[in-house]
Amino acid sequence: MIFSAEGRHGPQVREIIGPRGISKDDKGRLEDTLRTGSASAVAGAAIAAVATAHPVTAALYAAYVVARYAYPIVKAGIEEKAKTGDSDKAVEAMAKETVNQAGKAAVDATVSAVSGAVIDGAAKSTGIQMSEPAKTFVSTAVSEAIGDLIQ
Amino acid sequence: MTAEEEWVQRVLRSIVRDSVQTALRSQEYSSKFLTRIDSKSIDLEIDRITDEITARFVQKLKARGYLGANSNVPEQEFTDLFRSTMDEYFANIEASPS
Repeated sequence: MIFSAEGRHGPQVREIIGPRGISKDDKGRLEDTLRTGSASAVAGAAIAAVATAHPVTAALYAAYVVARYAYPIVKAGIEEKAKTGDSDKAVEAMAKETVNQAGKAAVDATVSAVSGAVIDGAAKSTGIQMSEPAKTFVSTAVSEAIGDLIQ
Repeated sequence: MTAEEEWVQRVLRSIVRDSVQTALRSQEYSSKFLTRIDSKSIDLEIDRITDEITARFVQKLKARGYLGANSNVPEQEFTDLFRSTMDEYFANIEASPS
């Protein structure tokens, strides 16, 4: 995970939303809402301001491409989990499937290794370009989603 | 919802949620956000709204055939579709009676 209760350890905000990622209007609106808005209003303003900024939509697109590429690998894990009920075996099945899909095995049978292998495979296979912060976000998103699906 | 649609939705939801939460915890906004006593409620609202937006977005991708085999949406169309989903979501919120 990038985040913890104590703070975050990932890309800096400027790397995520860019130096001019949020428009002046959106920024002012978000700052006003942060001070005085209801929980729902703050969440809505933050999502509207941040999620439409270009670096985020670029990371979102990269995540879509990677997710589509990775599905056969993830599917192998979901099927193994359904068959055995064992999360470790599900990750092993995904690690094996990366050979078929990505051309090389994950370095080991862990969620993060599978995630790394599918991102590298997707980059090579589709030519999708990812900045380092976007790569971090996509890697975290893929790992989280795999973890959720095989729990 | 198929397993593939659920998978894509989970990945996209994570990107949106983590980006927004990271921004709110940045130096720029943390003095206003983290000092609020209801920051936990804001996190829950971010989860809820993100779930709704990404579910709608994935439905749009599906309706246009962009979750079918060998059919990826071009980046510009993807971005336009996402922004229109956001616009529709927030327009509906503003239009609905409180």
